[in-house]
Amino acid sequence: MPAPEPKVRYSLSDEVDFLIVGSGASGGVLARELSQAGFSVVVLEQGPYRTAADFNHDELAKYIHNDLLSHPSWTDHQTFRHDESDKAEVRDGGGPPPALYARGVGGSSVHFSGNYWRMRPLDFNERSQLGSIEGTGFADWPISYEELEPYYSKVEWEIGVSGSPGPFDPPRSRPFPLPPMPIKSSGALFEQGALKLGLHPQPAPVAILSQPYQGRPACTHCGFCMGFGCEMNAKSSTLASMIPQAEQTGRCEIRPLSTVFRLETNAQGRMTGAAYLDAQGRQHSQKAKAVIVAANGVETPRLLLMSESSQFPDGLANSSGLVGKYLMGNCHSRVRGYFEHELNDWKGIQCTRIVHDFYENDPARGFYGGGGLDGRPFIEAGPIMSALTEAGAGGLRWGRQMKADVIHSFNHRMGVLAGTTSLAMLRNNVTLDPEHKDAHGRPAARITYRDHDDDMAMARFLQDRADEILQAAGALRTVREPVQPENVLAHLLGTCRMGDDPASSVVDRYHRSHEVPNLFICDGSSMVTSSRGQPTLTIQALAFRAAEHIAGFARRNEI
Amino acid sequence: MPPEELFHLPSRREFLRHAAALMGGGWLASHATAIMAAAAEAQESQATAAAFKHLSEAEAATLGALCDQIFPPDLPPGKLPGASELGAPYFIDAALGGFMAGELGTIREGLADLDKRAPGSRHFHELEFDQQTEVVRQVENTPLFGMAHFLTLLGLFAMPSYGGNKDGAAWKMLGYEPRHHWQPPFGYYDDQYVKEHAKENGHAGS
Repeated sequence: MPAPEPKVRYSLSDEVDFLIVGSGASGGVLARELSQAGFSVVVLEQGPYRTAADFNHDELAKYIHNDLLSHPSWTDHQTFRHDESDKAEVRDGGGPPPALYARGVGGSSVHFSGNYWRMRPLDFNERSQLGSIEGTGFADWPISYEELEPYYSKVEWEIGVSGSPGPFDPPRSRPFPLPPMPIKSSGALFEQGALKLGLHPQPAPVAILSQPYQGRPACTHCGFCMGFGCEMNAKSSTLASMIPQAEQTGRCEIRPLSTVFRLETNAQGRMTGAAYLDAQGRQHSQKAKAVIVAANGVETPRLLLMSESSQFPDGLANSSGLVGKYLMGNCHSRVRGYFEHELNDWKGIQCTRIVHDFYENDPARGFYGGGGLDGRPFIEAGPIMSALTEAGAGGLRWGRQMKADVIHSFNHRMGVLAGTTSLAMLRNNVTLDPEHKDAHGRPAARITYRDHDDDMAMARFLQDRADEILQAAGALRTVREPVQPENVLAHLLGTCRMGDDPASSVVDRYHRSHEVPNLFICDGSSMVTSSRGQPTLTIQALAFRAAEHIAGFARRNEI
Repeated sequence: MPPEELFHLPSRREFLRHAAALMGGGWLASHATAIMAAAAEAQESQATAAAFKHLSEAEAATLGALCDQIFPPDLPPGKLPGASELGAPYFIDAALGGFMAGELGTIREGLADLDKRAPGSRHFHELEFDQQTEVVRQVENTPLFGMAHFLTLLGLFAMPSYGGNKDGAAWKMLGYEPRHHWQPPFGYYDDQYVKEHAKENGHAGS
């Protein structure tokens, strides 16, 4: 199915009210809010405009070919290293990129699993509660939970989130708009195991429709959520929820296959628009009164750094030197459990029960951190990844026993995934690779990342708990995956953090750059702390809040 | 990435050799465009004369026996097919004309080595199954085995249209059905859970 015919096309010389870079979790919300508020909006999206009809269950294409992650017309490698003392390398042996995000209209909200956890009041002021942590940029947010709460509710109601409150949830002004998704066997086992241990399992809040909502159908439990686009539009991606509403206004043009390579400024140090490459690699330049960068926590700082000029020698909006710094990706650990009866965990959504008993920091643990646990099949839900997991566990396995295990495990296995806090550190960052460039001369994003020891300790702590839950649930056996420093980050956070002090932050509390009055930055990069492993709901709450303030500034002529 | 570039990935062999070890830690994938091209070619092979394009008939016979060592046919024969019967060798042959083309020489050498290791003057594929197993144990750490292992599984469990999962038979073994719609109960434990909770709430489970 081709992308919808645009209701409006702006010319490059039209000075639109807002140019938004990126159409993902944040950009989609901003586009819809600002166009509905009456402003003219152009969204430049580097990936293609796929629609529900383009999505399928081709595991080879999605997990091996990475087709949702790739640009169809050119390669755009990233380089990675754990430590600054190493030379960052491109992973030419294949595999997922170090900064894993989807390219396409809707961004990574298209291929995510939709776990929508609110942050809690403590996430916003934990630094004040606990004190500083040496060697880190651990800091309070300039805003509180109470300030963001209405926008959490707004996300849940505007895009469609299914769930019911748990015992530790922060206060909410509105109930969930939709009841929780039906429980899966992994959820049932996870809940039973957790209850035996005295924990408090709760239904997973997810951005997936348990009932028809706003003209979109309910989930059909097909099982191809994580890493796939939803062919039903039941997953509440911005592609399914926000983008069509933005286009419906007749004021928002989504321009796919438009890769921004430079943000443009004038002699007065104000934004004038953005230069981008179209599908054929031709250069264009779109004029705008204001620019909002919502390209994710790696591409946003990369673009700001690429937009250096004599006026902004260290990159745009970077007088603090913090553009690209404090990258946070959440640390993870996993345990697989094998059970007597069939779970068929390849059916249905990823995750139906979670445990938040270990959300808060506990000094008794001896390290900083908190996190969450959930029961789910993870990436090995489908036949290929399931088989590769079983045949690759502990070395290459082959022969009749491997075959028997591959067959049996497919229906009898589940996993528990743990996600943790990441401490912000200067050593974890996005910079421009000094050597590696793509065919268009754009420097590769160079990612330097090694989790803080406390993040790793938290991941190991949660792995112990995950193992206990699976054993308490009656697992015949469990297998722990080694806890290792992250080398694939799917959560790209913290690289243009918000704050009141221009010396220690990139944007203010309204996402306006401290340096350039008509430049706003709003995506995972705005986050000051990392969440407990599920940041997207917070990113979208920030986007709704930012849109309201930005619209106000525009109306009052304060941009 | 243009095909010629794919042929010159220096770390590919090493990567594939260790692919399985990497899989557990969030490993997702190998090179993409190319596998797709290989897969499309595999599909074509199946659809047409099912002839091998890059390996000789003799080499293909050796490869087929190796695929069956990795993912064997069940005993008694015919119960659950092995990789060879499902088409894995065609998938691999196609890969050797696509993203694995740079490895064609290595694969050829590896297959010749298997034949050389076969006792007597027989070819590897002419040995009894258990004799073949003995030979494969000697080559478990070779590039040939790493590549064959990865590609066999990939071909088997990909969509049947890619050629290595004839009639979806590998999926049927798993109990997997390619559908877009399911309803709860999905498995034993959620079924039990819902029934028990219905009982607790004083009405019949549904």
